[in-house]
Amino acid sequence: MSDSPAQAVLEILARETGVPPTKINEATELVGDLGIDSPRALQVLVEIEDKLDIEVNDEEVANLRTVGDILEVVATRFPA
Amino acid sequence: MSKSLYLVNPAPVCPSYFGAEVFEQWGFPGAQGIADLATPTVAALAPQDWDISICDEFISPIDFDHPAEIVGITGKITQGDRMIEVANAFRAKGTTVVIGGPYASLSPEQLRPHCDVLVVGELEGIADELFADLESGDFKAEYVAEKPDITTSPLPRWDLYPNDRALMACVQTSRGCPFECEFCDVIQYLGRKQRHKTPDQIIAELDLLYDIGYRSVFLADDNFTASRKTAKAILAALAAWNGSRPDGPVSFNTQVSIDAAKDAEMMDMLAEAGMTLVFIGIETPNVDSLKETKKRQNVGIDLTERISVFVEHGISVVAGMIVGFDNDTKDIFQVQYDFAMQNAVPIFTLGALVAPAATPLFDRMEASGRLTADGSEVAGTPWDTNIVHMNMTKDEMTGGLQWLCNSLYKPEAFAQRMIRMIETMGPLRGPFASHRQTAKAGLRPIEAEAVTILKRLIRRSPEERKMWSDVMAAMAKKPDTGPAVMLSLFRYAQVRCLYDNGGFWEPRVTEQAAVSAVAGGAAVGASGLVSIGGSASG
Repeated sequence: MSDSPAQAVLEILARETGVPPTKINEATELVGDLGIDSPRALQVLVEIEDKLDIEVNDEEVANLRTVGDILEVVATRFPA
Repeated sequence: MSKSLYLVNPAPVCPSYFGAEVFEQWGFPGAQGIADLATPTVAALAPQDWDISICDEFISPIDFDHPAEIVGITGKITQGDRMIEVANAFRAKGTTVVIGGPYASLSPEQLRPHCDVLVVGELEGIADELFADLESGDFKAEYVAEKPDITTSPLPRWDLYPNDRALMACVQTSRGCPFECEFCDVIQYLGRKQRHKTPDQIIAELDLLYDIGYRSVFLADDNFTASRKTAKAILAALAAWNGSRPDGPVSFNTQVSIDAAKDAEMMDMLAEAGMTLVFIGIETPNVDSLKETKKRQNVGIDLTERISVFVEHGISVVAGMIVGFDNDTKDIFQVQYDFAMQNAVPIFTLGALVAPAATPLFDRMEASGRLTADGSEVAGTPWDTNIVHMNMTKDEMTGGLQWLCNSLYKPEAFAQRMIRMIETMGPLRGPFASHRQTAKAGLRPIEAEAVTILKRLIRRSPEERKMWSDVMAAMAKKPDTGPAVMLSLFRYAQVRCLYDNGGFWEPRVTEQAAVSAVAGGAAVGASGLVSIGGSASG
């Protein structure tokens, strides 16, 4: 069970890519490090949105390069 | 004295299989599937001291208060009605209106009454004379152009075009086609002798488009592989260029004929250049109909086997299919369905046979009294035609076609064909093989919007969600197929837009057999509502 939105994101990324969560951090590149191609990116986005009941808008999608970029978007929906 | 010129590419009467109207339908700004090449080309041929602006109405509304002294309107047959509306509006306020393009060249009598200057044929050869006359104010009512040598065609003025709203760029590689399919209007205005641009010319245009930011280019060519020698020279240049792009390669799309599949060297060169998708006019598995329409290159071969050759080379195929030839009987819808489902082709462009003006088919239909007064001559609009079919009533044609379209694009059926494509597709080749795992630049804003469209598509119903889930499971075993999957999925969204827009999407018709749909005449009503078997309740 995920404790936080950030952890949920990491779990989804790990499940979709097969990369252990311990090897994923904010600097991890979605394409270069995780090998996420465009269909996989679509799947990850759909899963994150469904899990956290949020929507990542087009402008945000256009700027996703790293795991940190995703976490930053998610953080704006769940301010501390 | 220099002039001001407003170049307009008007909207079509309906969405198309190759368009991007799904953006606007789903709440985004207007977009083009393939950037319009006509307006930037005309802008490049005009005097460069003129004040020139471009409006592509697929993307943004026409400014009817535009202060230009001259308005230039282009368009294909699908844009004909709107071309006339736009021309009339500008003439009413005293603006000089020039009309040219494919529709003007094929049906000049339709447009002549609505403009001050009509250009019939290709502009290059008469551009200097036309623009000099427009500048002096002493112009003729009509200019008829010969077929020019397009190696002299200048670099299109893409700096004037709204590139941020087009998914794909466009580079013309040739004009004309050596084949003589009875229903095709291309050879009527571009001729049967292909005229090519030089490889250097094509590369110069690609350089420009790459710098703008495009990473996907449609090579506008009615048959890219018809002239094998020239095509291979161009492909060699494309492979060298594409393999050395600093920020990743470009994906090329074009149109070819099925006979290219028997040339192993050609297939390798297409893959190595970065060709990722081709449109092929398959038309029909009915051999008698292929012979009837003079589609000789498709006769006497195993169409499915040839299609697979492309897919095995990592090249997706979009197949054009037509029903309603004289040799088609009422079972053609089931025959087409069975054929489509055995192919590794997710996207089929399906439509009734229509006879565009100036084609041999039009002449034959006219001579036999089989042209209808109220029918559309817009090819690619599935539910309309301008001819009386030999073996079916109009209602039978519409009912059968609606059954076929809905059956093939049911999420379950689409998923089956996507999975067949994934299983058949060969590994990434050429420039894409070496860029498989490199970090790439982010998405263009329009591409990010496309991702949102796909997210919504997947969530549209449990059936679409399952379709996506099944496709992803297949793709997990063949990750190289990712780009082809995304492209096909976006095209699926556009097809659904086309059918939704015309009231043609009605999955309930697939609950009956094809023959029942034909007999019942499931039809699109004037309101756009669909009745099944003559009953609104189904």
